Formats: sequence, C-alpha cells, structure tokens
Amino acid sequence: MIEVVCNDRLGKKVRVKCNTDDTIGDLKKLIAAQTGTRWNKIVLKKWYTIFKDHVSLGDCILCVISRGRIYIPILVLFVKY
Amino acid sequence: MGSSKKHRGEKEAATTTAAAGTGGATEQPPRHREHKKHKHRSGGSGGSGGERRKRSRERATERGGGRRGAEAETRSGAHGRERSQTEPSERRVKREKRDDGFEPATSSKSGSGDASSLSIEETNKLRAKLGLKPLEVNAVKKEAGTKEEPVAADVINPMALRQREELREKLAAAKEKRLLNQKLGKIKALGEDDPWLDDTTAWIERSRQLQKEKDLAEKRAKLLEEMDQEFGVSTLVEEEFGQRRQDLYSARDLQGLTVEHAIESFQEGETVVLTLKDKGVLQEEEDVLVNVNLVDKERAKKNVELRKKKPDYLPYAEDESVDDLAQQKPRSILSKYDEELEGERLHSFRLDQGGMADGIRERELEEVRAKLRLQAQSLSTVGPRIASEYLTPEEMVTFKKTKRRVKKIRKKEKEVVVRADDLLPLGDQTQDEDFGSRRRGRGRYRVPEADEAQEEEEEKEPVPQPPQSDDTRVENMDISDEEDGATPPSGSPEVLEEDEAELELQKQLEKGRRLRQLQQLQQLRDSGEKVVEIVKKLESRQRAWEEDEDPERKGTIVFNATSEFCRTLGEIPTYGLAGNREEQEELMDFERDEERSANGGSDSDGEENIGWSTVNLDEEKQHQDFSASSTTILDEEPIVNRGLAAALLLCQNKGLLETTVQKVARVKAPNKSLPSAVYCIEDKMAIDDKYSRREEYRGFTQDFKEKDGYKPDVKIEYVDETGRKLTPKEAFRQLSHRFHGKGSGKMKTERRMKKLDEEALLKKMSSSDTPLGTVALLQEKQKAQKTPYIVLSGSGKSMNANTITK
Repeated sequence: MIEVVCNDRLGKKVRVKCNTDDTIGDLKKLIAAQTGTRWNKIVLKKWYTIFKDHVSLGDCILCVISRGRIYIPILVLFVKY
Repeated sequence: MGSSKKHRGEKEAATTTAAAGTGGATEQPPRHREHKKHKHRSGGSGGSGGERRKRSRERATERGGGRRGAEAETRSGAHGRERSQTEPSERRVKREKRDDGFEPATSSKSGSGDASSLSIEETNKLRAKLGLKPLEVNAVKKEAGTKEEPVAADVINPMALRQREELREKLAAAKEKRLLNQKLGKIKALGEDDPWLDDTTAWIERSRQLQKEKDLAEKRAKLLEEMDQEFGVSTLVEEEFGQRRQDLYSARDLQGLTVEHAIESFQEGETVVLTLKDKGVLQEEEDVLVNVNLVDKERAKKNVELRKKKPDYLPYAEDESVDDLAQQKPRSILSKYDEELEGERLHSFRLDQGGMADGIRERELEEVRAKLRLQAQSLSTVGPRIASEYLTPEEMVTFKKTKRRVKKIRKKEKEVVVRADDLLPLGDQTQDEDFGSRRRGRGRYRVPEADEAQEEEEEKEPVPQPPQSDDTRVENMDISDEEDGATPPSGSPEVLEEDEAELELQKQLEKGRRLRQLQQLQQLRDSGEKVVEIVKKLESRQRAWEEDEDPERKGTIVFNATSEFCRTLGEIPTYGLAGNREEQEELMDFERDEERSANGGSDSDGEENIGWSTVNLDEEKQHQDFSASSTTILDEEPIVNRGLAAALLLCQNKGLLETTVQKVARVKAPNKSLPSAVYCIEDKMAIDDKYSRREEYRGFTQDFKEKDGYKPDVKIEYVDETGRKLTPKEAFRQLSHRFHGKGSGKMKTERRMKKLDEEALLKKMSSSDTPLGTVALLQEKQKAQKTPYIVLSGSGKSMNANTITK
C-alpha cells in the first residue's frame, strides 16, 4: 500500500492511499473523490513529466522499495484542475 | 534522498506506533512545534532527532489529533505494543517533536487544511465504490530493532548482486552442458573405454559374438536363396527388383515437384535439363527443379531491365490497371519495394502426376486474353482532324437540288417589249383589239359596246397584225403632235385616252389664241383713247400702290444706306462754306436784319432748324453796319475806356478776334429714336489717362545734325564688390541674383571664394620664381658666399633664408 501526496500549490494537498499496482487513472479517481473535482480533469505531473492514465503506479514511482510495511513515499505530484 | 526518506518514513512509522502506545492524551500537550529541544537528544536518537528537526522545519504542520491517534492505534494494533511501552518518557519527548514535524500520515480530512487523507477503511470503501480492489495492507513484519537500536537498513550490496548474477549464469550454463552431454552421450568419444578394449577376454568374446552373428546372417541368406531357386522365382524376383530399381525413378516420381521457371520459357521440341536448386542443408523445404542456363538468362534480363532505369513513380498512372484477362489489378503504393520486402516472386509450375506439365491452361489463358484485347475499346477519343473544305461524295448525296423558280421579268411598256408569245394569252384581258383597223374608220372614239362584234371579228384576224399596229401607233402619235388636234389619230385604244387629253388641250389653246387675236384687233382700233386711259390707269394704279404703301411705311422702318450714312456723319464743319452760298447768305443777312429789326431776330419759316448760331451775329452785324456807314480811311479807334464792348471792337478791328461765324451744319436727328437700342458705339478716344498721355510724344522728331559722324564706343563694364571686372558669365550671375533676390548657397559661395583666393594667390605668385622663392634664395646665398656656385650639401637648414642672411 502506498500513500501518495498530491499537491496543487494552490492550497489543496491530498494524501491518497493506494496499491502499487493501481493505475494512474485509479489514483486520479481517488484524488477526485477526496478533492471534489472530476477525475478526468486532474493532471498528475512530476515536474513537467505528465503521467498517463494507463500506467501503473509501480512503474511511475521509481524510488519505492517495498519493505513489507507501510511505507509512504512522498511523491509530489501536481494536480491541475 | 530516497534512503533518507525511507529512514524518515521508518522513523515516522516507529514514532506513530510509539505514540499510539502511550495514548492519545499525551499528544495534546506536545502541540507546539516550535520547541527545539532536540539538540540534547541522546545519541541514538540524535540522528533521528535531527531528521525530525528537519521535518519540523520543512513541513507545514497540522494536527490530526484524535484521528491520528486512532489511526496510530489501529496501525499498531497488529504490531507489538511492547515497543511503545519500553520507553514512554523519551518517546513522549521525542514524540512531541516527531509529531510536530511528522507529516501526518494519519491526519484527518476534516481537521487540517493541508494534506487531508483518509483512513484505510474509508479508502477501502471509496475504492469499492469506484470499483477498485481494496488496499493491500502488507503484513508488516516485526521491526527488527527498537528505537534504541535502530535497524540498519539492508545495504544494497552490489557485489552480492553481481555474484548472484554470476551464479545464475553458471547454473544456466551447467544446465545446458548437461543437456548437451545427454544428447551426445550416446556417441562414443575417443577417449572412452569399452570394457573389451582393455580386457582381452572381453574382446575375444565380443569378436566371437560378432562372428557368430555374421555366420547366422549368411546362413539365413543362403536358405532364402535356396528357397527362391526351388520355387523358380529367383529370376523373376531379380527382374522385379531390377525393374523396380528402374521404375523406382521415372517421370512418375517427379510428381508434384515444382519447376521454378515459367512454362512459357520451355519451347516444344527442345530438351532442357533441370537440376535441383541449391538450398541450405538444414532447410526442410521441398525440392525445386531449375535449369541453370535459364536462371542465368532470367537474371540477365532482370538486370537489363534495371539498367534501363524506368521511372519508379508514374504520377499519372491509374490506380487500377486492367490485366490482360480484363481483370482489375489495383496498383499498390510503392510497389517497387515489394520485391525487397516480400521477396522475389518466382514463376513456377508443378509437375503433375505423370511428371509432366502441359501448357494447356496457359494457352487457354492466352486465347482468352487475345479475345478480350480485340473486344476492348480504347477510351481515347479520335483526335481532331483537319476539316476538309470540300464536301465528300457521301455528303454530296445528301444535297438535293432545289429548283429555282424563275422570276417573271417585269414587262416594261407593252408597246416596246411585247412578245408574240405573251400576247397570245392576253386575249383574255379586256382589251380592245382594235389596233386601228380601217373598219373603224378615222374616228377617234370607239364605241366599245357597239363594236363588240367587230372585236370578235378582229380577234380572228391573223397574228401578224400586232407588230404592224405598233408601228402605226407610233406614227399616229407623231402625227397627232404636229397637227393642232385637227386630225384625230387613228390610234390604238391604249393611246386613245392620251389623245383625248391632248385634243382638249389643243382646243383650249386654240380658243385662247383666237381670243387674243380678237383682242388685239380690238385694241388696235381704240388705241388713242386707250392710251389716255392707260396713262390714267397707270397713275391711279401707282397712287393706289403708294397709298397702299404709305400706311405701310408709317408702321415700318426703312433703312436707307444714304440716310444712315448721313445720320452717322454728325457735324459737317464745312457745310455751307462753299462759294456758291455767299450771295444767298448776304441776301439772307439783309433780310434778316430787317426782320430782326422788326421781330427781333426770329427764324425764317422757310427753313427748318438748321442750327444757325445767331448769338453774336446780330451785334456784329450792327457793328458792321455801323462801320460801313462811316467809311473813313482810318477808322476811329473806339474808345477803350468806354467799356468792354469798345475793347472788343478794337480787337476785332485789329483782327485779333475771329469774327467769322462758324456755321456748323448738323444732321437732322430723326424723330424716331433709333430702332435698335441694343447697340453701342465704341469710343476709342475715351482712353484719357493722364499718364498715358504723358508717355506719348506728339512733337517733331528729327536727328541731330551736329552729331552725324558720332559713333560711340560702347563698353559696358560690370564690377563686383571688390572692384574686379566681371566676365559676362559672372555679370549675368550677378544680375540674376539681384533679379531673383537670392544668391548662391553655402557650397557655391565657398567655392567661389576659394576660386577667388586661388586667383589672388596666382596673381601674387612670382612668374620668374618658384613658389618657395628658391631662385631668390639661391641668389642671396650666392651673394653671401660670393661664389658663382652653390654647394648642395648638408641639411636643409643650411639653405634657410635666415642662415643665408646671416
């Protein structure tokens, strides 16, 4: 399980728990549920690298080394509305 | 960074669990994050404290409060709580900081503004709603170490990794080897030992066995042969075998083999040797027969085609080409690469069952193709051809000759153009055929009703009459003209009408003539009386005419050239001054005097207003009378002091006055005003300027006689401001500058100045010497040295004028 931090630099910061094998699209849905926007309006980036919806989180988050415990990698992603 | 994060995460995890253990109540006081009491932490947690500090500085904080606590509890539920209980006090302190700096993984949504997060259950609910599988909560292993003894993270040992890799490779290699050995195990290697090689006995036994087997085999063969011979089939068997050997390989055996040439390349009657095409050893494809020569030929052909350099791309080629068999073959894109990509398409045919291939099918196809080609219609339209100017015979047939209706020529006078043919059908017309026949007599008039019978008779008359009658008609006409209408013309009926008119005319004329004659006779008789009458008549007529005219005159204006001329004359100064009139004048004067004395000078009735000026006349006449009365030789001088009159008289006597009367005759102005008011007389004498009059010279001009031979030498010299004489060009320039009021511009004046300066310099220059005055210097030097020569040596300074003067 991963907790992902999403920050839009305008005041909305959200931490979302999800699995490693979830896709970005799922993550977006979770974010949308928490922030109140539409999930297809969210754009997740890692400093201009936009993450596409079909990619799984495990492939995106490269610094994760699953340790068999609750591990929270801090991935600052920008959410655009 | 990652590792540090990891560590941080671990620490956080540790702290959360620790915090959970001690309870939520203790979390309340350590809300202040500003406490920086980390510095004096114990060594073990120093690092973590430092990290925590970092965290506290970094993160914006939020307090989850109870939420966090609960979550921490739940989390730690699975883990051991013993950790938490071991060091509550320290944890408490540290917890503060950790909590402060701790980026709350457990902060509630509602509580804080930043980084809201849901708990696992909530997340799972959400996921279920969205259709995702629930969160995988990894079974958390027991922490290896406590806070005091923090577990060192597993060091990634690159060496170990490499070793593992190598091992794997080795294993894989060994496995392969094994397999190979298994495969090749059957084959005896050279070095391998058989049991019987070393041991003689074993060898002997083996050899014996082999021998035995051989013998047995031979025996069997012999037995079989004997059996065959017994049956007498041996020969047959041999034959069979021999045939089979022959039959083994015949044309039939070629069934199904492909020949990689086009059938068309084989011609009837020729033998072509086909061989198996080369193929790779390991290729399991079927055999292909091929003729080497044909292959070479085909290759050569292909090369020739390639060398021709046909265009790869035909831009206007159609998308689909029609095959010979009238089948549409779509043109593919970049078809030139098909060979490269898919490989060469080889024409080949299979040999059928008998090992034969016939080209029947191909021939049939050819026939079909030929047929279709004949049927084909080319879409290209027939090109334009030059139209011929002449009609082709085929087109000529289409023409139908249209008969033209011959127009009837309009007949002129029937007397002149009359044909025999035409006249015949004219019998229908209501014409009298009486062409002056004698039966009618010489009567001009014909009675048509009475003579109808005659007509019929006449019609029966022979044809040649008409031409004759023409002549007679003409003749008759002539005759009628000459005569005074006495003899009636025996003209044709057509001419009859005309004759009648003529006759009437002539009658009238005759009448008139007779009357005239009679009149003349009458006139002759009373001539005398008539003359008087005529005269009277004439007079009366004239008067009548005049009277008629006068009223006209009164209304009209008659311009007469003479009258106009006279009117425009104006005054005639010489009127009445001719010699003839003097006597009359005198007479008139005397008469006038008498009259004047009686009346006081009234005008004569007889004359009209001619404009006699009579003002001075009376007095003068009186004076003249006076003088005439006393005729002494020397007149008495009138006494001047008597008055003006006397003075005037004196002047008159002396001849100082003009006493002649100027009789000015004026043209009588017409009573009527000028008929036309729209005209004016332009008076050119009205130009009476004072100045223009000044200009004109009305005097007498004559050349000076004393200056006859004078021929002045005119020299006009122009001078500029410095006193220099100007050339004509410069003079003109000066003039134009004055005229236009502006001189030259800056450049021009500068140039002019420069030129002037140069001229001045030129003038200043000595003609005999160089500009530097070399000659003068030399001369001076000579004087100084008192030698006729000069030594040219030394520096230039020695030649200076200063030195010379020295």
